[in-house]
Amino acid sequence: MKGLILKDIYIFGSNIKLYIIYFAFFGVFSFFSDASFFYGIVMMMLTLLSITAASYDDMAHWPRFAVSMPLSRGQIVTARYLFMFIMTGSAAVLLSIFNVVFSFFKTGISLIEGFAVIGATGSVGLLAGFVILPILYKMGAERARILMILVMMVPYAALMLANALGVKLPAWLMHMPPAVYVALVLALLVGGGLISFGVSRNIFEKKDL
Amino acid sequence: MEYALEVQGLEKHYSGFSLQKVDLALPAGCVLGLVGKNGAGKSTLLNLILDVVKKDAGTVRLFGSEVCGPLQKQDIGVVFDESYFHDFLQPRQISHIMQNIYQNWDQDQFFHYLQQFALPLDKKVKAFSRGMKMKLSIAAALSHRARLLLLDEPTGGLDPVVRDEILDIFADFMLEEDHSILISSHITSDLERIADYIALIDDGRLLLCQEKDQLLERYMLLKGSPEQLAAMDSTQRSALIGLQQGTFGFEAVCDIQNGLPAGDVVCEPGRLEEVLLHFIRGSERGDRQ
Repeated sequence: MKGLILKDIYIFGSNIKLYIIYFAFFGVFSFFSDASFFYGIVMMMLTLLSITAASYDDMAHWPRFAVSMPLSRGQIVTARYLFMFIMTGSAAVLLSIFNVVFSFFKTGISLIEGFAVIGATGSVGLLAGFVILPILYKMGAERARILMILVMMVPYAALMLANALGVKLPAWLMHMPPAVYVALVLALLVGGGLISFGVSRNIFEKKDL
Repeated sequence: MEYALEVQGLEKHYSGFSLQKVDLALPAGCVLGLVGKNGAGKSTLLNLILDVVKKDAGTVRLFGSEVCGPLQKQDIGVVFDESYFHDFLQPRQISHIMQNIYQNWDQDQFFHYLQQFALPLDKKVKAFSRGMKMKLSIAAALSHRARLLLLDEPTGGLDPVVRDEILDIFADFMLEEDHSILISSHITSDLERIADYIALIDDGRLLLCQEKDQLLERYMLLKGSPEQLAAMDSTQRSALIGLQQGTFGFEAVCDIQNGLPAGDVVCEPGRLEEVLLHFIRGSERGDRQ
């Protein structure tokens, strides 16, 4: 499994300079505007690298070769999810450091708000990954492409529509204590992750590669 | 006798193609050459052995065990008909990856093969030609002290000089008594050189699996004139395998254990390719074998 995670790190490591320039640009841009946009972009990009990695694997027909190696199909799926968690965790750490540094140099920015944005976008990224990965395992990267775009766009479109129609969240939801929000999100992530992993593993165990 | 690989009643059904009840066995210390036309089922058979594709029926035993899990695959080196290493990876990185997958990964041996094959250590795979990618796959398969090599067209896309070099490497691999190779190849001259056993597969059916030398001793090429063919009775004609008739003569393979047709027909040993071609033609026509 360690070899599989190393493979993904090497693949994206070859583009590291590009990512650094990209993030540096957005980092500087957000310093003069809104940091939450930067947090969102970085978190989503790194969290969904696992999806990109799975697509690359599919294009290279890597799963066929992986199964011929001393790896179980379960380990191959586990490595994919682990990579996603590692990327999310790494993004959270990096952005948290940035958030602390940012708050020293820019007044009027709430440290807590920054952490909340990091947590929220990380959760959204993970949930999107939990939905997309089983689709990828089932349909392959090429056929799943349209569905992946829908998964990303539909929640956003729904929010935009609700806003345009003046739909508001129920009052009880708006006034819940933050700790309850956090607990609900964590429960959603744990439950969603377990279901997603179980479905992906089941699909991959039975699949002809 | 110990077997590195045993396949019994292996079946796989697709719409339009079926692999039907394949039985074959690779004794430890031997090379089994798997030959057949494109689409005959050679790759399907290899994929079933490796559990890349799920079997519909039958059993596969690797090193005496019906379990084909990670433990057994530590001892198997695989070369597919194309390289599956990502274009963004470099051979040095591939070595690090494999080191964390195979318990017995030998980085020095891998680098030695890379040097022998003139493959650069720090260039991305996307810059490699097809032949270079195949050599990279072969180097990886040989660098973790495997006992069994499963090779699907390993010399495809390689020039004759490199093919010769690779066959020498496979011959060196076989110097160890417990090493075995199952090699699928269109290039019958390669199989004639290294194989101990030949398995012929056609349209999903295993037509024969026999020791190569016995095969070539038992099945002889028969050549003669149209008149000699016309003089054969129905029993003699039905015993001909893959009969090819032309204006000036005929050619077929016959099993000398069934006796030779009377008359002055020419009976001579054939090359492996000739014998197998007649078998395939015979299979297409439904000749008795």
